[in-house]
Amino acid sequence: MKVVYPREDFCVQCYLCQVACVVEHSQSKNVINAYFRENLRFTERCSVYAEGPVSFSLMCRHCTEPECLEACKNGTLYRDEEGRVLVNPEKCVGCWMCIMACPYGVIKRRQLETRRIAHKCDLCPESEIPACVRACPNGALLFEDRGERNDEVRARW
Amino acid sequence: MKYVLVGNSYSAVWAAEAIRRVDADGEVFMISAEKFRPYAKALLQDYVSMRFTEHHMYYRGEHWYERMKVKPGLGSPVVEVNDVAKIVVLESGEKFTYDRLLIATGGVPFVPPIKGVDECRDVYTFTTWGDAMRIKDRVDAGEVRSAVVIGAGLIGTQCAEGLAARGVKVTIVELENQVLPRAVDSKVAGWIEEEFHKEGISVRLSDTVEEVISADGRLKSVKLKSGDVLEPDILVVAIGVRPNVDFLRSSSVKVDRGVLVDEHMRTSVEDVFAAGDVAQAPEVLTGEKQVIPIIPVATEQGKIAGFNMAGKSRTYPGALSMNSFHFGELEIISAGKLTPEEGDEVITYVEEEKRLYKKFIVSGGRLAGYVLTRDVENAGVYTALIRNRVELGDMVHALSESRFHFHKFPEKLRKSLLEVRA
Ligand SMILES: Cc1cc2nc3c(=O)[nH]c(=O)nc-3n(C[C@H](O)[C@H](O)[C@H](O)COP(=O)(O)OP(=O)(O)OC[C@H]3O[C@@H](n4cnc5c(N)ncnc54)[C@H](O)[C@@H]3O)c2cc1C
Repeated sequence: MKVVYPREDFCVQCYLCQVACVVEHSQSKNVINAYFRENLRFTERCSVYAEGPVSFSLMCRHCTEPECLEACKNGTLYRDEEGRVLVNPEKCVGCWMCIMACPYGVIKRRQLETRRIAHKCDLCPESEIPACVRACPNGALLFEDRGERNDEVRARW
Repeated sequence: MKYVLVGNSYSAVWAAEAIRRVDADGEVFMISAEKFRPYAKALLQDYVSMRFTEHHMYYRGEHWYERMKVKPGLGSPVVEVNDVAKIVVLESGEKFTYDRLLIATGGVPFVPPIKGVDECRDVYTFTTWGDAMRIKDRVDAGEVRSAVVIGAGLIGTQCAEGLAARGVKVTIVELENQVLPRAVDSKVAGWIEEEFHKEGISVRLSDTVEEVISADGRLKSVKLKSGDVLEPDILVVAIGVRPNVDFLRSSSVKVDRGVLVDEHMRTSVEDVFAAGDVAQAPEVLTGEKQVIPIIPVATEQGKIAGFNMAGKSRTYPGALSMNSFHFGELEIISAGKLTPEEGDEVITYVEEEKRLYKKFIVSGGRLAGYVLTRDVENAGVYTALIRNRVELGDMVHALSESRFHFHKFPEKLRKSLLEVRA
């Protein structure tokens, strides 16, 4: 399955992936409205990490055998027919068992009106290519199928 | 191929799903003592508190059995396993033959022989939906104004919070000198006790219930070791669970504390496997076989068992104890070793007023355990460092930094994780 892979040598730490992610998941699809009217600041599903000259953006790998699914208390996390690992927002009770288990550390906590739920990359179901990949000005995010290597690498660090 | 899974919860569900990934046609039976389809045991307190609805309780969708082509047999426990004739016998008298058997019967609550406990009808345990319903019904009927919970472990503390949320005046009695002695250290335990205080839950440490006094089976009072006497409407015993193995007595399946399994989740009998709270399997840090009764262990063991039962060889990497909980406002995740041994290095970071805490135990240059509060979003990275036995090297100095992540890893490991190149 195609997922998003970062290339740290190409990342310029511009954070456009985070902005594009927020806008893609907004109603308005407009940066200003998304941040100010819809209050979506800090709801990006990818995170940029930087240390000296090294930087990269990281998001869910949609593992074949996801640890987050195994840890989930009530079946909130699931894999859809295409293999995407998704959160059922109605069902999530915010127990953070998934956060404890994810070896990529890419699941976040999202504040809703009355409760908090797990929040993560959904590979942009409305678009053919995820928004972060489209927004990246330097090809530091690639949308590719690297097959079983994805799981092999995860299984032995 | 005919598979019989005894149990209908986390580990049996994962076993069934793994079997189906390998074997689309084999017959799969799931037998359960309880009458419900798979539900989230870990949300029982939220059922009692009515924070969440029945909808949140079901672990899988309504049509899961049909989709998985699994035949459920619910409502009657297995009372005997004959591993020579390969038959399991239910209390109802029904018999099932099998080619491969999974024991996934979880744990049963341990009720110590407290004086007077057997004569009292107001004594409850808290490990099944049935237990939670019985307690909730009495709360709904206005019959429970106060409760004593024995045991401040995971189950006891969760039960206490569920009851307190309904306005019940709860007292937790714990023999050790802190709450959650096996899941957090004394520092975090102190903060949890403060949260309990805010919720109106009283905690009595280094104490226990010595006698239950009732009249006509109705609870009158409980006498504590300290000499104090409390007069609750109900008593909940939540001292712990032990592997549910009694029905295996007449079989040749080897049992120590739990059902002993190898790294394929196979028991001492060729075609019999075990997984979850009932199993005693290799632990990742020590390699010793242990019973670790938590969801991520139950599901992974179930999955590994299922694959091996269906003929796809998979090795279990070993269990790691870990947990995530919140009490009031305080969010906590902990994993692995919590009590340092001689030679271990301990790194702590505290921001008292924010209730922010990080503690890491480093053993032989590798991360062996952690406790985090509040700032928990990168917890999985630490969990993976423990599970994969990664040599920390210079990373050890960065562990307690906020947003500790792959950017602190040595280049080779980082790139292999980020880019997954061949
Ligand atoms: C209140 C509470 C809160 C918890 N919170 C957490 C938490 O936050 N995080 C966490 O990781 N874990 C938590 N746990 C522990 C977690 O629920 C268990 O680790 C998990 O349920 C184990 O799954 P299992 O499939 O091994 O067994 P169980 O869930 O115990 O299921 C056993 C199954 O076997 C069936 N069964 C039993 N005996 C027989 C028999 N003789 N014949 C046929 N069927 C039988 C039962 O009906 C059931 O279907 C909690 C537990 C409780 C009770």
